[in-house]
Formats: sequence, C-alpha cells, structure tokens
Amino acid sequence: MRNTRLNYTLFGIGFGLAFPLLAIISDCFIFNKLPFQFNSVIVRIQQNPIHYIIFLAPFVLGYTFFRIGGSMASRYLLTKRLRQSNTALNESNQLLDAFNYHVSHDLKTVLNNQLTLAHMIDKYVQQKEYDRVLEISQKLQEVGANGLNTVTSFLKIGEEGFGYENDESIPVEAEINRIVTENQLQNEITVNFRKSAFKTLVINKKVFESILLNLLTNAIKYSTSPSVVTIDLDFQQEAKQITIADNGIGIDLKQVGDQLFKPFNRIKNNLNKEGNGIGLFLVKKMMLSVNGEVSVKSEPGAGTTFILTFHPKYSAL
Amino acid sequence: MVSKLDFFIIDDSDVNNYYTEDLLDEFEFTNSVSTFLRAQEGLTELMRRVDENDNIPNVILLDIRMPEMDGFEFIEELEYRLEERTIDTKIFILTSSKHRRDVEAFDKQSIACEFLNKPLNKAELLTVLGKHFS
Repeated sequence: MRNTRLNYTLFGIGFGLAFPLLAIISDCFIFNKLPFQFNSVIVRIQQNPIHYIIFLAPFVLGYTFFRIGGSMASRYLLTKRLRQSNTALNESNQLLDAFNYHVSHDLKTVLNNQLTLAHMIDKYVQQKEYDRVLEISQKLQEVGANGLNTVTSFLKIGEEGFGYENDESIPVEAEINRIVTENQLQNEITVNFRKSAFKTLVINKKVFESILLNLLTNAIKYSTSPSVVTIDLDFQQEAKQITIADNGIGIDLKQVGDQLFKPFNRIKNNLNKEGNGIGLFLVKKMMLSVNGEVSVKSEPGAGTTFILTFHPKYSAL
Repeated sequence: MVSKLDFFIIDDSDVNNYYTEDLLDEFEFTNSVSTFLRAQEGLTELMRRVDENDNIPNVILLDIRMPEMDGFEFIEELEYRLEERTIDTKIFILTSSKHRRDVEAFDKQSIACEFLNKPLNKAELLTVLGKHFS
C-alpha cells in the first residue's frame, strides 16, 4: 500500500523507456539497416532530432504515473478507512442489538414481577390475609428498588464516551498511574511499563479512564496471586497499541469464543466471582467509539492479555 | 389426576418463585414444592433423588436465563448424568421471552415437553398438567 506511488512511478519510467528504445532500434537497424554497433545509434540520433523529443517519454510518463500513483494510494487509504469504519459500525450495531435485547428483557422481568405481585395482593386482600399482603408489599418495594438500580446502571452506560470533542492529548503512563492511585488500586495491583514506543495519546480522558479501570479491576478480580500487569506501548503500522498483560487465572478462549465482549455474557470462572457482564462490553463499545479495537489473548492459567489498538482519527470521514 | 404431584422450581428469580410456589400451593394435588435459585443445586438434588429412588419430582418448572448454569445446560447435564436411565419427570420450560434462540434450543432437545410463559397462568398450567397427568 505504502509503495503504491513508487510502483506506479517505476512503471511509468519503464514504460517511457520503451519508446526511445523501440524508436532507436527501428530507426537504426530496421529502417536504415545500419551496422549493429553503438556508433550507428549516435549517428542516427544526431541525424534525426525527433529522437530528442522521444527521449522525454520516460520523464513525461514517469511523472504522469507518479501523479496517478498518488491518487491511487490515497484512494486505497480511503477505501481502507471506509472498510474499517464500516466494520466498526457493524460491530457496534450488533452490540447495541444485543444490549437492547437484554435491557428490554431485564425491564420486562421487573414489570412482570410487579404485575405478578400486584395480582397476588388482589388475591390475598380478597381472602383478607393481610399478613400476606404486607409480605407481598415488601417484595414489591424490593422489585421497585432493583428495577431502579437496573435502569440507573443502563443510564450510566449511555453516558460513556462518544464524540471527539472532549479529546485531549494525555501522557499515557502518567495517566495510568493516576488512574491506579486515584481509584485506590495501588495496594491491589502492580503496574509495570515495559516498552514505550509512544508517550501520548489523543483521546477523551474519561473514556480512557473507564477502559483502563475496567481492564485493571478485571485483572485484580480474576487473579489468585497479587495482581501484576505489564503494559507495552507500541505501534502497529500507523495505529498506537496498548498491550496489557496480567498474571490472572486466564480465559479458555476456545470455549468462550466471541462471547467475551457481548453484553451480559458472564464467563464461568473457578473463582465464582460475581459480575454484571457489562465490563468488557463497555470496553469494546468505548474502543469502537474512539475508532479503536480491542482483542484478547489468553490461556487458562497463563494470564490474559488485552490489546487496545487506537487507529488515527480521520476528520475527513 | 392420578395422584399427588411433587414439583421442583428452578429459577433464579426470587419473586417468580414466590409467585409460582403460591400458585402451586393452591392446588389440592400438590404434594410438595422444592425451590432452587441455582440450576446446579436443583440438578444435584434431582440426581440424589434419582439415585436413591426417593421422591423423584413429577414436574420441574425450569427457567432458561440463569447465571452460571442456564436451563438448557441443565437439560444437557441431566441427559449426560442419566446415561441410559429414563425418568418420568416432566420438565416445563418457564420463560419470559420467547426468543428465537430459545425456541430453537427447545426444539432441539427432547427432555423438556412444554414451553410456558412467565408469569405462569393458572389456567394454562392446569391444562398442561391435565395433558400429562390425567
């Protein structure tokens, strides 16, 4: 991709060279049947000034193809970016579908429960069993409170990320250290920085904090020994990549498949840890919203590595 | 009805269990109701009763969406543990959403025989019970 322009230019020059070459061969050895030696070429060129014009062909064609190559290169890049953002949109759409389904399901459960309990109240009021009514009313309040919690957590998800307007350049290592201390995780996790091919990242600070916090708390949660993560900052072509490797219990990815980042899918773990199944879904959603990707490498017992790839943001798209 | 029936309710929803238990208690033919919030616990108790041939439930009302082990995993695990044995227990799936995926999974298996909506409708439950136990 990167060599498109060079390739086009070289082709132009090569193609251009064919013209003087053919012109000289036919002029000297075919039309005028001169002896097959270098001197004949010199003689014909001096006698026929058209050759000087034909000599321009490699330059003209070289330049022409240099220009064509340039526009082809930018077209490739554009197509690539379009494909990237298309994939991201598709994924984000699927995630939202799944999310929507689960939100509706959860809300339906809450409403169903309320309706059911209301019916029961009817029944026991008719039977004048008021102790029972009181008991049901207690449950009704619990259901209401749970429902409210559910809705509140969904609303919180809606607040995360989106839009580049709050982007700022953040010093990645310092920011990660700040996230650890400000969330009082310093006693629970050790963060080591290994490679640092870049220093800063342009991103919405809140989104970055949310992503990192999710991954770091997961590392702490799914670990049997003191949690240690190793962070590498590196480039993957033009994208910046943050690799976060933990020493936790790991995930059997063969078994989990693509479920890991889907909302409300909780992966079974030996530690019987509770969770709401939203964390990694949020990470994925936020990464997509900043024109990024998240992938995972893991093996049971061998820790988990999350790879955050931040593609450059293209304002033109 | 041939005799009195023993029920298992396997559902992680507390409220739903409260309601279903209450509904089953209304029936004269109900002998006992055991409630399990986790499928794993229900399975362990069921297999204990099967192994000891002790009061094997006639009906299991089984929720689909549960954390850790879901309804269909329960069925799969039950089939595996029963090996060649068969039990007369009828499994009714309880669901609050007839999601395509769930209906497909229901069609694929043979142990569960009914697919009921939550919250259980008294008339519907009676019809279904009548079908299997009259």
